[in-house]
Amino acid sequence: MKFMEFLLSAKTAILTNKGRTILSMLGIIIGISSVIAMISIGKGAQSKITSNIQSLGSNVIIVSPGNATVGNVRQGLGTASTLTQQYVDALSSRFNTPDISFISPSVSKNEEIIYKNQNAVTKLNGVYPQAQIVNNITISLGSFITIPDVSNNFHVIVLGPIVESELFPHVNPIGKTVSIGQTLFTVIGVTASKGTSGNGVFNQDDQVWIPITTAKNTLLGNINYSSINLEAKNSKVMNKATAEVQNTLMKAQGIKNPNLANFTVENQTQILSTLNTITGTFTLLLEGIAGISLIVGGIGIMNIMLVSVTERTREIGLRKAVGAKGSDIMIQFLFETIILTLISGTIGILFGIFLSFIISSFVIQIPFIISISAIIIAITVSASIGFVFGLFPAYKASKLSAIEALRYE
Amino acid sequence: MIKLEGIYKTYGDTGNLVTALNNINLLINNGEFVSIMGASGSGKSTLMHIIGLLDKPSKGHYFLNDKDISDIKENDLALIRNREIGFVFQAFNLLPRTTVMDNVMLPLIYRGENNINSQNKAMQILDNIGIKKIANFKTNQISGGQQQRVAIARALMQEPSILLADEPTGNLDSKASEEIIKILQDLNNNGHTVILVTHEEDIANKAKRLIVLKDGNLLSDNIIKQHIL
Ligand SMILES: Nc1ncnc2c1ncn2[C@@H]1O[C@H](COP(=O)(O)OP(=O)(O)O)[C@@H](O)[C@H]1O
Ligand SMILES: [Mg+2]
Repeated sequence: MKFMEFLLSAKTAILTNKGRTILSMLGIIIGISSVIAMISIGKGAQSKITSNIQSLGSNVIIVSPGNATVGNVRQGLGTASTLTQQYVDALSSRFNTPDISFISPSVSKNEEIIYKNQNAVTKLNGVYPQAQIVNNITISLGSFITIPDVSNNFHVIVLGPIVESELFPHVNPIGKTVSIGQTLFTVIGVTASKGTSGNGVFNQDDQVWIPITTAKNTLLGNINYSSINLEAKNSKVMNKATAEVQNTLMKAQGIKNPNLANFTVENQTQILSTLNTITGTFTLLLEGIAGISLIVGGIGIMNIMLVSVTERTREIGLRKAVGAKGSDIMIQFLFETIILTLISGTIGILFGIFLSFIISSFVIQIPFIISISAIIIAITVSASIGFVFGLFPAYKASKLSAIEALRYE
Repeated sequence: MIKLEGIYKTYGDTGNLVTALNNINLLINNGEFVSIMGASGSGKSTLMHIIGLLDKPSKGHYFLNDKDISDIKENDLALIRNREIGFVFQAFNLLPRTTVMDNVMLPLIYRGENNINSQNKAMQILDNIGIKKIANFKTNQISGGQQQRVAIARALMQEPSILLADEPTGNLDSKASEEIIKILQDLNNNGHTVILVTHEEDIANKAKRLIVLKDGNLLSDNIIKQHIL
């Protein structure tokens, strides 16, 4: 079999100049390992973001204030909220929103909470009891905000697990009194962790809840709502329910053109797809960079193969003298280049896996995901690089005349 | 049978034209043992390369076994080089860092016949020329005389009808030279056509016919006396 001869000759050639071979493989190794690491980190980040968003609750529609247009000037984020009581009333009507099962308006502000000599700055939410259902909140200790809490303006507070651990590292918080500014609150519950931690994304374990009436009457004043979360009856009516919310709010605002809306309606699916577009663009950019490094790596390999063809001119002449055809020489050198890039690709894959393991476990906390398709792509890509960049040196070798090659000093 | 008709070989262009072969006409029958002599630069190697299909004449016709092969395609030339012609070079031309066995097997690999039978045949040939015990040595671990025997073994693997040896003893001491010439004589006795280029008269006289070149011309072509019965 000629194949065995090609293998043997590739082995001899690669082992003869180990140092040079390794140097020539570096470009591909770096390129492939960054592709593998990037795909793995991209997938990990995506799965993390997805689970973060899904933990908001199921079938959730989120109305946020925003993009208020005053006159013809678009207001930036951070201006006073546009979500008025009138909006909440309109959305609460079964007639307007038949496919909505719960509505949970809330007001939010960052506040400092103090217990004895401990303090924590966190997101304070004034909510109705249904926030627990809509936002998928589980209670691990005590209870959540109740209807009497809201109707009686009770000064009670439910802590997220991060806030709990900051204020009450060693004691049971239930029944203890914390203060926000001059106001005192009794802790009635602690929520279970959502199992997500924030890296850039808002951390849902780092917030607290109080009755919405208490928030408005005692702490924040009669401000507009920071957001209105709604739950659709089931996943099948998501789009219909989202449209109902959009139409109700447009009617309430008194506009026909959705571009004039001073609110934004989004559902989970839309948020996910927006985020996926962003991560997709980012991944594409990184892949472009990896692609360039692979091309540079390919040129490096081609270079070394051209040197190798020149060095082995006499060998080529001899092979032709004993009967090798041009195509035999061509295949031999092409094969050698492909072996070289495949070895580089394999090293790159292993290094890339190692890299993504390190990054996902120690640098940013995301799930460690190895994608089989990325590995298959990497192997295919490295073999193709070998083929494409091996063609020219191999062709050059195959065209050498037997006698010129034998005479070469 | 080798027949050369009006063979010219020139190098360079009009300003500094070198005529390496100047109208060579030659007939060598199957089974002959021919020596070629001549001063350095007289065209011996050029002639061998043309006969061995490693190089093409600038002008003239070359008939191998009555077939004009002056104009055939490169792939067909490769086939004839592989099947009909064994070439032994002064510089041995073995694959470096490769075992003796793999070197000897090389021609059969291009024939697609790398099997157990041909490996046995290679061992047999190595045994016949006395280098069986170095079969698994790398070619850079053996002496010049051994290297030239490996080169001959490689040529013998092809079972060529013609064996061409261009100064095969040029890099060897006299004892190794004698052994190589003995192998060539044995081959000729077994029916192979052998063409041998050499500088040394006593080696040339081991052949049955002596051709002398001078400045690319055929100066003389004689049957060697001790072979005239
Ligand atoms: N590739 C070449 N380019 C130019 N001149 C060459 C080449 N090969 C051989 N010659 C010339 O052709 C002549 C014959 O060379 P060669 O056949 O090698 O002689 P020999 O083998 O008898 O010493 C010499 O003058 C040599 O310089
Ligand atoms: Mg010569």
